[in-house]
Amino acid sequence: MTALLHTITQFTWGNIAMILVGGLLIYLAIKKDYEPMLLLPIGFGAILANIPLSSAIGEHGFLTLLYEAGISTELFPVLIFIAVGAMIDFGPLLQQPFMLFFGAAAQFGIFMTTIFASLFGFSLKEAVSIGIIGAADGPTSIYVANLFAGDLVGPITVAAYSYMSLVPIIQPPVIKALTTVEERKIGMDLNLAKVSRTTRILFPILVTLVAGVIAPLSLSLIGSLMFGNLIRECGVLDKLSKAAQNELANLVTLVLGIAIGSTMVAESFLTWKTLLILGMGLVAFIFDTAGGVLFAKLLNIFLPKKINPMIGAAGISAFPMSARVIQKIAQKENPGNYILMQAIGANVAGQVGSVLAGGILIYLVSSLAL
Amino acid sequence: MLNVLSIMGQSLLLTFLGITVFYLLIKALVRYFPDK
Repeated sequence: MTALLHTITQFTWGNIAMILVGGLLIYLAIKKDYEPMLLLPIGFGAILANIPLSSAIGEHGFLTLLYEAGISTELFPVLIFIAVGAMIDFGPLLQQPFMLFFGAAAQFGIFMTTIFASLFGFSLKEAVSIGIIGAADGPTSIYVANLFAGDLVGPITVAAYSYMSLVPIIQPPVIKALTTVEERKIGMDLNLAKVSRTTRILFPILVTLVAGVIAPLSLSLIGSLMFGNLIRECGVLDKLSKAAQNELANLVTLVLGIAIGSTMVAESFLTWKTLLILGMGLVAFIFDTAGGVLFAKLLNIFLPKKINPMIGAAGISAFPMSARVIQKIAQKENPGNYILMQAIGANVAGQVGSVLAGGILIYLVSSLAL
Repeated sequence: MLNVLSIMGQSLLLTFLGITVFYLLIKALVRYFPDK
């Protein structure tokens, strides 16, 4: 009885607030289906970390051990990238390589948000970590944030995954504000040439080599992504490919989420910084979408055959949700309009663009600090 | 602030440069290894 009372008296208002935040994340995961694979473990991890005298955290706590083994070392994000690489079919991108440029344009939010974060007084490393939410790519956000601003990993991860799940709500109003009905009705070519198996196999190997030359510090991210893709495309490692897509992805996601949740202790999470990060995460996604759409509109000034500018918005790496959102809007404007293949091409390009932008930022900021 | 703007400018430029190299790479791959 004394021990029970001792625990209860240790509760602070911050602990109670964080347990409610954990409960809210679990609610959003179960009832609203917002990235349940990540938000549910994060929510539960937050609850575990905020019960006073919890044995789950601390020197011998299993959550702390998981965090130190997999997140401090950057191992979990890299393993997730192998799984993601095995899941991605780069075919639509190889059929229409032009879509790559939308994958670069839709990273605009990263750069704008970093500038905004600096204006709010965050240090360069913190600002870049917040800006990388605009990569719309959870593992990249975790990787960069852990490298540059370890104490902000919790709020940055929550913001990144929450807004990724809110893409169907965030993107349509931004797209509609920047495009006309006529632009949204533009059709795209349905006849795309097939890509050879040799191309599919050489692509991940050559991208790794080129990325290694351009930005060696991006190799952990892009190399693991491309390794996963090579396993998928080589045709002789079906068992490994399936294991990466299923067992590896599920297991690492499970421990990644709960380990991130364990960082959400009241003293470090309930600060004005968290609120700013959540606000700027939204700004990042809005600028990503706007960057992609405006870039497509800019190209349309010069191109004889116009591109549906909504495809630019699919250049964020929230895959495949963004492509589906764009196809849905296109069909709403014109039921016969089918732009899904181009949107998926841009969406896959976003995966490459976000990892490349993350790697380049790591390279530039690290070399500045030297 | 100028420092941040400079780094963001360089990052944006390098991202587009990298993407352009990937674009040329895919074009070459598709051209030299067509689907038969």
